[in-house]
Amino acid sequence: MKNHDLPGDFAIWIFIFAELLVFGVFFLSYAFARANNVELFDEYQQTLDREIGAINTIILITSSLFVVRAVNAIRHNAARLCATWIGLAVLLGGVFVYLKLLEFGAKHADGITLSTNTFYMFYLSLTFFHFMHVLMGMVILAVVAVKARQGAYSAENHAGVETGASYWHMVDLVWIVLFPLVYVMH
Amino acid sequence: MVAANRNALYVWLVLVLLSLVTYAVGKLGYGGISVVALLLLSVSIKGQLVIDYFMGLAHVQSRWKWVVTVWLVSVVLLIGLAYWTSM
Repeated sequence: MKNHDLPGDFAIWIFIFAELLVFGVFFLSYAFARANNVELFDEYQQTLDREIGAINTIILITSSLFVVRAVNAIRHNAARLCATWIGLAVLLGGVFVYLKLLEFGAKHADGITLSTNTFYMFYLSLTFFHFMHVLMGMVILAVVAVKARQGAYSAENHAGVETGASYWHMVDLVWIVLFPLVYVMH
Repeated sequence: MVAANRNALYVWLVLVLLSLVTYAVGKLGYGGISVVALLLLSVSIKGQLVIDYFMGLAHVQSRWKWVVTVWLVSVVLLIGLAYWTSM
């Protein structure tokens, strides 16, 4: 059965479209800047921690699955189950943040900054910008989880859950482009 | 709920498998325009799966849902163009 409306509050979709536009410009800036500095980008891409990047990909995809299960749960009036799945998704978001901080810390220890070279400027700014969106998504999901546990949502009224879920999936979608682009492609 | 959760699990499995292939490509050091094309194809499949089944837009009639797909296709094609011009 088809729904006429986007899931959740329409306002979040305007926000999501704007965020996607900004990330899109960032990705294309990276790709076209690389076209003018292929050797530099390929050389320094090899210094990135691809293992952490891959693990974080699996973590975000899995947290997105948990959020899908939360939405399915509330559509069947299972508010506590919904809160549990969202809580688990936030927990995985925390693991993502921890691993990203380890990655940033290692680069900082090596003396790498935004001004080290063009590749690191893009790597640090792109991944940090995404990192901030993960934090924002975790805050939104945590609020939704608390409200779900308090019984604020039901099978008939769960736009808040869908709104938070849509934002979190956007964060996941952006990482799905970012990881191969910055860590793998050359 | 069971069927919806099972479908989401299948989507998750495909996403994980494609992500592991992406990681393996990086680990093995493969590069070049054909590898980039395959990686971008993988990004397109993963992205559309997230859009359709995690965001749930496959079950939505609103025209707004196409904004996300158009974004994904545009970004993938333009990244491909940037890499193609640099080869």
